Amino acid sequence: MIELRNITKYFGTNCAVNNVDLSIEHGDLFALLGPNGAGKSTILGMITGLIEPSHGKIQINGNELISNKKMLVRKMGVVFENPSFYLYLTGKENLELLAKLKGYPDKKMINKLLDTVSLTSRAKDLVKKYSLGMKQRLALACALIGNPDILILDEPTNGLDPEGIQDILTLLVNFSKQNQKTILISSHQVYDIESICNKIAIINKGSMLCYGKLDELLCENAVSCLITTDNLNECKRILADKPWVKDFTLINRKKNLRDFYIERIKNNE
Amino acid sequence: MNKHTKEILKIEIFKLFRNRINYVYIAAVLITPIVSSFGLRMIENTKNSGTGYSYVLLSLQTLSTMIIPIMLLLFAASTVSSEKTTGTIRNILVSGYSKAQFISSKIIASLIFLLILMSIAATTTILIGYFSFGFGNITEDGFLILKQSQFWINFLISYSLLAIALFAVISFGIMVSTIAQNNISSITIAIGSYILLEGIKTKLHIENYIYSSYIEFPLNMLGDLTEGFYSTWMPKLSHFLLVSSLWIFISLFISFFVIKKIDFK
Repeated sequence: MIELRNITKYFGTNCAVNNVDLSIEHGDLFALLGPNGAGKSTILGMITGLIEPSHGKIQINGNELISNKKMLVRKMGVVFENPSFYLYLTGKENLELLAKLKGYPDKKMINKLLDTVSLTSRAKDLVKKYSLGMKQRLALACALIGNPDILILDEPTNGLDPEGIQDILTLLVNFSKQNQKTILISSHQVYDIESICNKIAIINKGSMLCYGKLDELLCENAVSCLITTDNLNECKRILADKPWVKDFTLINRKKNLRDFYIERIKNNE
Repeated sequence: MNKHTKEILKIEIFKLFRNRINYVYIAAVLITPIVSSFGLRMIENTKNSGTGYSYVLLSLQTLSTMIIPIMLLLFAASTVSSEKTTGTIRNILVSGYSKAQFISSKIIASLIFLLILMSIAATTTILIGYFSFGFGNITEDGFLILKQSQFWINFLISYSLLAIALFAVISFGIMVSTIAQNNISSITIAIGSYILLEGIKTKLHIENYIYSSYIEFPLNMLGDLTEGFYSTWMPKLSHFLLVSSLWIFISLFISFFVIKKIDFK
């Protein structure tokens, strides 16, 4: 459904995404994982048509994105990292405005979406009075306008408390189950996302380290694996001593809680 | 204009009326004619003082050369940059609108805002002029200089030309707004460059090529008529049209070109 072929993006001389291939099928709940600055947002930006790739092709439902951008992005719902709204408008007005832009000015749908994200009671408040969690939920409501075929979420749980994270993830799982839609999520918070996704891709420094079904990636012959630790220095010391460890990358989850390592091991070693 | 362009334009107009800062600009345009009316009363022995015409010209000249360009620059300089700074431009682009449609809607909304400001300025000034000073045929020592109807015809022509000059200001503001990284730098660059050009254009002998040099021209011509000088509009009118059009064309061309090249993360 979403096909990325040899996608590369340079910002000046800096290579943000390097030769990435990705295939996301209809109904997948796909997670794009990696540390901050890995290139996840750039990849999502290219899929949503906001960023033009330097090289490579993106196809959605068999159509070239670059030549059918308007038609294809209308079928997507997007939640950006740090969702942005017009602060001088209420939550409902922001939602109505985006619904009109997308060509769905149905008031019943607006009320239903507000209800879905539990914002009905605060719908008439100005967005500048919203907490980050409320903004994230409003952004999700905006992304669900018109029941899009593809939902793209860039760090949707960023900055949320555990309860807020759970709310967002539950909403996503319900949406995916009820509608059989494709959902693509980027995150550096591995623990939360991996529990709801059926496929993952791990990105670092613009390159794809691995991608596929989560359980396959963690099997015996996997080239990469995730390690969770509560003792960062000890873990670093042990990994550095192992000859079979080719490389490892730190993915911060939460301050002082857990740290994740991606450990690259040579095949069959 | 297709359905989508109409929709984005409607939303731009909705935002225009919902953003409170725009009412500050409108208030500034409303207050200036009132201050001007007191100012004119204090001037003694001024030719034509006591007539509504000289008040209308004084008030509108003050507004169009000092107040409205600054208000328009503040407005236009934040049109694109505010959406870039907050990230709301991404919402519009992922709703299936092109960058060209986005910029076009900003240009049309800015033009509508210009017409609103000009209409408020003219209406307020004419009403105060009528009730405080009165209008009639312009005469001097018993000789008719200009009939009332002739004045208003020439006023309409001058005011329309003024709209072109002020649209050049908007175009410049939108261009800066498109290029600038954020809202604060956009406003600073737009206002700063306007003030800088005003200060150095005569010293550098470049005033004939600067858009702001022609803002006062249409109402000055009208002022000459009320003073009894039947000066010719040419060749300054052709310079005015040429320079203003070039500024509009170049500024908008750069805006469309630059926005096309920007990646919105």
